[in-house]
Amino acid sequence: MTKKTSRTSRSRQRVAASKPYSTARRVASLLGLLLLGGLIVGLLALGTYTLHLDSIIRTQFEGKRWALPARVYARPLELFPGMALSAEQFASELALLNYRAVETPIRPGTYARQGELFELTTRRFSFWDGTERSRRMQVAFQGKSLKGLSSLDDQATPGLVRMEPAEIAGIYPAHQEDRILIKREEIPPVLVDALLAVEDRSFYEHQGIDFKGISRALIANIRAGRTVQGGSTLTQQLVKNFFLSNERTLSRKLNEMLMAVLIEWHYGKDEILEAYGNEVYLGQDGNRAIHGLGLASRFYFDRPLGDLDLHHIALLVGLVRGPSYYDPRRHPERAKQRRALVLDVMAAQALISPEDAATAKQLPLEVSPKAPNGISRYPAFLDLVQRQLREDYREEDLTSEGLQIFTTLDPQVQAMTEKAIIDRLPSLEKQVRLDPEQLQGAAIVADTQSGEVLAIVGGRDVRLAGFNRALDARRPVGSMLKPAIYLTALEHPNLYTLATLLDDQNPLVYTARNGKQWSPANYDKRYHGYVMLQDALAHSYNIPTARLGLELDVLKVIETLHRLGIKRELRPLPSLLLGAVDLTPLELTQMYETFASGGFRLPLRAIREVTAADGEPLQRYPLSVEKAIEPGPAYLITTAMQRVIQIGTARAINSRLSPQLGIAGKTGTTDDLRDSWFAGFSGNLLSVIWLGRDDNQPIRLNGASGAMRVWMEIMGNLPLEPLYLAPPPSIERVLIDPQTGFRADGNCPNVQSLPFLVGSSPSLPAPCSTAFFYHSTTDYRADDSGNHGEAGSDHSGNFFRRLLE
Amino acid sequence: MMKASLYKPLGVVLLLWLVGCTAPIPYGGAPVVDRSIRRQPPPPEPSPVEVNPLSRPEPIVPQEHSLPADPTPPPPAGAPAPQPPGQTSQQTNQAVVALLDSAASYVNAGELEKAAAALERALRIEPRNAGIWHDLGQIRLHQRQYEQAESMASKSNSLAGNDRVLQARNWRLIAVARRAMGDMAGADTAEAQAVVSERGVQ
Repeated sequence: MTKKTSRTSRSRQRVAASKPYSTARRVASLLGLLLLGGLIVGLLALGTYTLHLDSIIRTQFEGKRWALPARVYARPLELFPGMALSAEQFASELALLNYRAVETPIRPGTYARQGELFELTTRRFSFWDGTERSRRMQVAFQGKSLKGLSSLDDQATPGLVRMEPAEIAGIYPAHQEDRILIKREEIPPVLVDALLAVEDRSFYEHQGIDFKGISRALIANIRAGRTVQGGSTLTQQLVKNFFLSNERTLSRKLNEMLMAVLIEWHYGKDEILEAYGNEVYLGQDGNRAIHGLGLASRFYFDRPLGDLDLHHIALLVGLVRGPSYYDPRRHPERAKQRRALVLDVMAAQALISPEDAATAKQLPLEVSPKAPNGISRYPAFLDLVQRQLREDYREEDLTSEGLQIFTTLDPQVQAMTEKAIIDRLPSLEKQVRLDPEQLQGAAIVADTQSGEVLAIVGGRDVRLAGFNRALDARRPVGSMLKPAIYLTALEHPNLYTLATLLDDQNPLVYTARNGKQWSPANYDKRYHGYVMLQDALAHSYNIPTARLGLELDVLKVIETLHRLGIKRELRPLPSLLLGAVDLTPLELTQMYETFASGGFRLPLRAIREVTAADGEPLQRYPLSVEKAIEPGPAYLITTAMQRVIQIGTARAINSRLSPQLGIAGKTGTTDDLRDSWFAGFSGNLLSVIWLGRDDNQPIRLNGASGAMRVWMEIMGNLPLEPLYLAPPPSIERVLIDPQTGFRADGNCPNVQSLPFLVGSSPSLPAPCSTAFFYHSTTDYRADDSGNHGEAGSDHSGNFFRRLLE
Repeated sequence: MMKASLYKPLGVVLLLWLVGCTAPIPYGGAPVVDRSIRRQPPPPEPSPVEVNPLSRPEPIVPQEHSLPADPTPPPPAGAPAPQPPGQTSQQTNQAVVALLDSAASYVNAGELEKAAAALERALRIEPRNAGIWHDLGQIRLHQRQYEQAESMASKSNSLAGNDRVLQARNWRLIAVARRAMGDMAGADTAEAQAVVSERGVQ
């Protein structure tokens, strides 16, 4: 449009010029004026345009230069003598951190191993609370524990070494641009030399544009008849990467030159080099674009930039010209030739000796076999991390601010948990003749004293970032709520103790207000007479539990569940007592964490702290505790849950784990064997397992035959500490006759020492005890000997309790 | 290397300070209590609590390794709670000692959150060390996170076994925290518990 008008005006001028001379002169001077005005306007426009470009450049350089994905780290391994860690486990941690086995481990990130003895040099890492320096040291193991640490450099032997944490994921923005920011001084000098030799020899001399380089390239290209050399300086390449599209037009080229000059005007060579090192495009991983030397080094060689050798560096520099064409994974031969070319150029420029070049050319590419995936290896755990982060951060900040997220994931525990699910599910399917691949499962492992989540598996395909059953599968929980009912009872010591006899003799029929009747049955469809409260829990008897819960009032039980950490609203129906409530494995883990910690509510945490890209601490997720259960009842309920393993539904655990560990736990099974649950804890670790099918069909496994087997597999491979319970001052031990629940003595053939809250132990002597003969004449056994038929269920329960009072 | 010494909590002195200072909160109003675990503690603002008197936290477990010459080290400040094997090994103590040392230097530098983080690291190694829980409670009290302070002290008590000295300290800490939260009756109860514990010592 504009072009057309100017052409018409020019033709008009030509018409004017053919007019008489004086007119022509006038016109000429007018034309001169016009030209001058145009020049001024043009200059002004150019100036404005330059200013515009200038502001773009400065914003880019001085403001936030790159959208940096958040980096997510596992927990750092802390090494100290005496800790439970085997040489094998240490080796796998080193593998996770990409340490390389070498003969003399002097460089950071290298180690040498001789049996149980390791020599290594750690990498420096900045945590939010300080920097762990690189250390050269020796680590000795003996069996399952770390025997000693000794320093091999001039630093004092530390009592504790915090290794760098393994990076487990990035949180990417939609356009999936990824990089690891590096500083100018972090770029190895050889790399800079190589880069300049190949891409921009006069980098330190030119002002953004290298005219000599352009003419050299032009000649070379004319000679070759095609484009073989580029005349672009690094600065121009940076501009191209930063601001411009890939189209090859003259105006783009002019823009590029102008901006390159402006950049050189404003910034020093080192700043430009640093920006280039972070911006240069070096590869593609699916949707993820690999930008910068730092990430490329990880992406191709699985090691940090500082750990690269000459032959790696030469390859990296070679890739600048065509990351896809020279892709060392897809086109190794091309890549090798390109690398050789770079090495030749370096040798020709006397940057390296011809011998070094020759040696480097002979070396294999050493590209890591599989590109480290941008997507996490730990999707289920990451899911929890992201949910916790979303409570505090905007999506945009997570994907662009380069936040560093330090999580609680313990890769060793995670590996064990994954392995147990992967190995156990198929064998369980075979055992109960389920169709293969039908059984699903979820597992969570948490620390009992801190609430830190150490591992999560969300399904049998542990790498699949799909439906996360650990967090989202809401399933009926069966007997998993029973400990809450028994705890509620034990918090009323004037009414209930571990020795209180509960009625599992008479059927229970509950009539709701709407006239509906509810009549629970035991799992084995039998009655077991009058059973001590602790045994009713250990064997998970439904009838006495339901009766107990109704006596207590369902609302009271719900109150306890909330106190234990269940946040979901629960409907006060009697069926809740037998687990007709849908909860997720994570919710149950939160509830059992309160038991495992000795009665303190510890919010489950997947994150320890978040720092900004520069390491500045932004937020900490500190250890937080809240007393939920008084020490006395906490002691009693834990003792009762230990009995589940000693003599109850989970006693098969003793075939795998030492009874000395004092494991406490609870099995859970739902109607028709659709869900199999187990929650159990040692002194240090809690694990909750769920097995079931996504279509909710029966799996023919109960809590003990299904979930508990997976639990045993996980916990059996972890360093467990015994569940040690210090009886609080409010607890006393009394000998009890298990037949009657009364006070026993040495005269009784069968006694149990049971804990009681002081003042709540039965005062009446058991019939077997010597004291009995001096006591009341009541026939304690009247009820046992017959007439229970007519006694209503509640009545006989109360009968015994009245006796106790 | 530290000397084997009786357990000196983070701030006996601090506690005195607090007792003296928190009762009349100068600017009235509700004290800042951070219930959330997700938020940073309130920024240091004019506080009735001085940070300086904090002393180095020390582990409550016996420090046998620090007295190589003496075959029978003096008993610690009250019997420690029985620990599962491995937890009381002298090497384990080394790591904990290192962390408590750094916690102490953070305290001295007024970096309380870093001190808390160091104590949390120590707890990961010795989660049943009642002394460390107490120290953490002290820090939270200092940061005026009174509910956390009280809970930490309760947790410490649940692990304190027969260590009545530590129990009394925990009760005192609870009393201060409760008073700061306006729970005067609760504070009195805690104070009374402290006296009971102290009596048991004599």
